[in-house]
Amino acid sequence: MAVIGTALAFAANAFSPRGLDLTKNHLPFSRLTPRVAVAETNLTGAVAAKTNSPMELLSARLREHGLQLADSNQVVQFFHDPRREVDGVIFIDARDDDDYKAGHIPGAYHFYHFYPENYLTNVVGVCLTAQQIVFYCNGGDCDLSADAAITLRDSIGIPKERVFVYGGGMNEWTTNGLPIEVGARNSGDLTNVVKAAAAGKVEGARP
Amino acid sequence: MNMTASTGKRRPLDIAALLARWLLGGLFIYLGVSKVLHPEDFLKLVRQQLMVTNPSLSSLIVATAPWLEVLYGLLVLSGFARNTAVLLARWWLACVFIYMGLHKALHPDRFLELVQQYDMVTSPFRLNLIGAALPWFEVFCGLLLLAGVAVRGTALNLIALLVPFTLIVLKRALFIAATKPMPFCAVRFDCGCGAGEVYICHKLVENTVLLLLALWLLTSRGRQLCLCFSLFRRREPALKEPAVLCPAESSR
Repeated sequence: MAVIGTALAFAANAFSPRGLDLTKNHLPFSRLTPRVAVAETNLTGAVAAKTNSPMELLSARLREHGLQLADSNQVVQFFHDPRREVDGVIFIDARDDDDYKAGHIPGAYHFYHFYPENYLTNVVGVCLTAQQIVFYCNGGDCDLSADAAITLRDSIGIPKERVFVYGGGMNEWTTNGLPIEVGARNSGDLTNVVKAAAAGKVEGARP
Repeated sequence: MNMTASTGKRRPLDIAALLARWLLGGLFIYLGVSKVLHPEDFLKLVRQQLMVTNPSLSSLIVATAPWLEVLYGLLVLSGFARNTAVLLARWWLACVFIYMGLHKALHPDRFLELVQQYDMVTSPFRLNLIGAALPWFEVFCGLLLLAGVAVRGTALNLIALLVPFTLIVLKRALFIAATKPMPFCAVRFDCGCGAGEVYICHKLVENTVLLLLALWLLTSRGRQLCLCFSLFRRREPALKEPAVLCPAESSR
């Protein structure tokens, strides 16, 4: 019965519109070595002083995969960069549809790497011409941005020096009072604008 | 149950079954009362996880479901109407597994990420196998239980799923509690079970309930409203008024 159930389960996955492609590495940004090492260090408490901050660890992990970490200052600079108006600098939201519609960085493109076929047509052109591409997700433990960056970079051949991952992600962006666009890309429905204007951060918002 | 009359060797098993039944009844009462005492948490679960957005319906569920759990706990505890209690247990377990399985099957991407957080599987192919098959397997088991097909075999499969999963969740919770650090019962994370973020102690109680229900189905002979209680064994002693519709058994 377990065998029949397993066979039926794989068949259901094959026929499901949201089924997983078994041959593909959906999570290319392996989280194993550095995180486990630090956690074990913390458990013993022996060499706690030698451990790095979460951002340093993330930066090291990103470097292993040929990616660059962008901190909040860099990301704000990218956001205010005049080249963003002509897609010379682009942001790519790597979260799922619900999260993207709930609020994203104004003007950000959308690429959810689990189902790349649904998003590739919208991002391939701009990714090939952009000089800087910033991927982000929610931040913290979220690895979607790095997974998306690796998937997109390797599938269409983006030079690695153009690819950045915003470690703080949407949570840090929101906390910093920066503008957020709700709904579709360039919907013009901005939130956080009052806070951002008070902080002088809304200037680059592109409706 | 005539097993005690036929052989004395079964007596320790009967005592164990009685204790398990009391534990199960007590846990159901605990779960019901905890929802009565914290209705806001249960309301959040109903609205966000069960996606019941209608305010009247969600309020009705919050007002009645906990008391039904308490009543069911009392029913199990008392041993009254045991066949009905077994039937309700089967249906309840079926609904839980169908819901949780579908929740994961419709979002296999999120499930895959949650499985990865346990750091148990390093190969992407194996991770994909788990992410693709496990949710639908749960749905399959739930449907079999709902229809009453191969009940014991299905219960055994569920036990084989629940025991390692509970141990893995416990291990992860201990890890989080040690690294944060925080009290064990304050640990709250999305374990990948399909119910979103949960407190670990509550999750362990829930899993214990599910495990006891599956054990009860494995050992009980209640065949009410079963399409085909057993696929292979044809010499099961029947209870009073069995409603067995399986052709192989009804032709005996």
